[in-house]
Amino acid sequence: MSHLGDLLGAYLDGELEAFDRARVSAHLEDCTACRIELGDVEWARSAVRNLPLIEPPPSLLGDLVGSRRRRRPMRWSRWAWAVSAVSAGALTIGLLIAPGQVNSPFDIGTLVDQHVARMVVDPGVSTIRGPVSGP
Amino acid sequence: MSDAIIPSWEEVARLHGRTIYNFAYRLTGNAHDAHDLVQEVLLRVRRGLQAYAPTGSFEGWLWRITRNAFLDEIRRRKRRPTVPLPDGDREDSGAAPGPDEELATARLSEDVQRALLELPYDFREAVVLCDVVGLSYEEIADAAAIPVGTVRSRIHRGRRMLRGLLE
Repeated sequence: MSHLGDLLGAYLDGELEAFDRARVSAHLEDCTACRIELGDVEWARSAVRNLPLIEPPPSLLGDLVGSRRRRRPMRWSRWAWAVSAVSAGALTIGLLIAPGQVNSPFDIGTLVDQHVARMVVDPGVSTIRGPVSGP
Repeated sequence: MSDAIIPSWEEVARLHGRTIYNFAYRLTGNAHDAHDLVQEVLLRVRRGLQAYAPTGSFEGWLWRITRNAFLDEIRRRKRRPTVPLPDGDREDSGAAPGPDEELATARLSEDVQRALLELPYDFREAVVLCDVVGLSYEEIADAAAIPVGTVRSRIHRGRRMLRGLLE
């Protein structure tokens, strides 16, 4: 059998099927030249794999990712305030219309404050998750 | 419609940006070109995602875009990519002064980088995609539109040349 050539690299990388892998293993037992070549490519592979991971400058990915995200908090913030105002109004109207039907231990002012605070802290909060008003 | 999950542009930048940067850095040997390449790749990804229809793996698509952007950039600039690492760029490698062992490792890294830049482009690219990026032979073949046998040959020959250059 001739020498293994690039089968050695594929053998090293686990890129051979079982049959070829067995064939290469058997050949390596008897062939010093191929064992030396395998050692060489393994050394080179380690040298490249051990190169340090280089961190990109923070400005690179930060700017690119941030360029689309920057506007979002503003939109959500306005939206959150608008939804909060509507919810607070609905709560107030509901209490004025049917004060006796609301059997809640919460103070309405605190409830609205908490809701507004949640909407501001977590813009992802939707109206569905917010407090529901009315009888 | 396919059920394949297509990442958003921000996810691609966040999950793959660092790897693309390292790919570019190892191919060019300098931070400035790597920076430009990553910007170009991410812009192409943003445009490409709008029409992306998964036919193979997402990584295959991403690395096809990456290497095409790189090759286009080389053609556009018509300059040698074998630029030695300027002193100012070494800070980016995180090789802070330290014990002798760390300095020896940093020196070896510079030698390996220089040797990589001496490889013919096709071999360098195959070695970097395999040993820096961590793609399989099949993924490299997909990205570079070449047979797996060619990938195998380029990686093996590239490593042998590296070994010879670093002796």
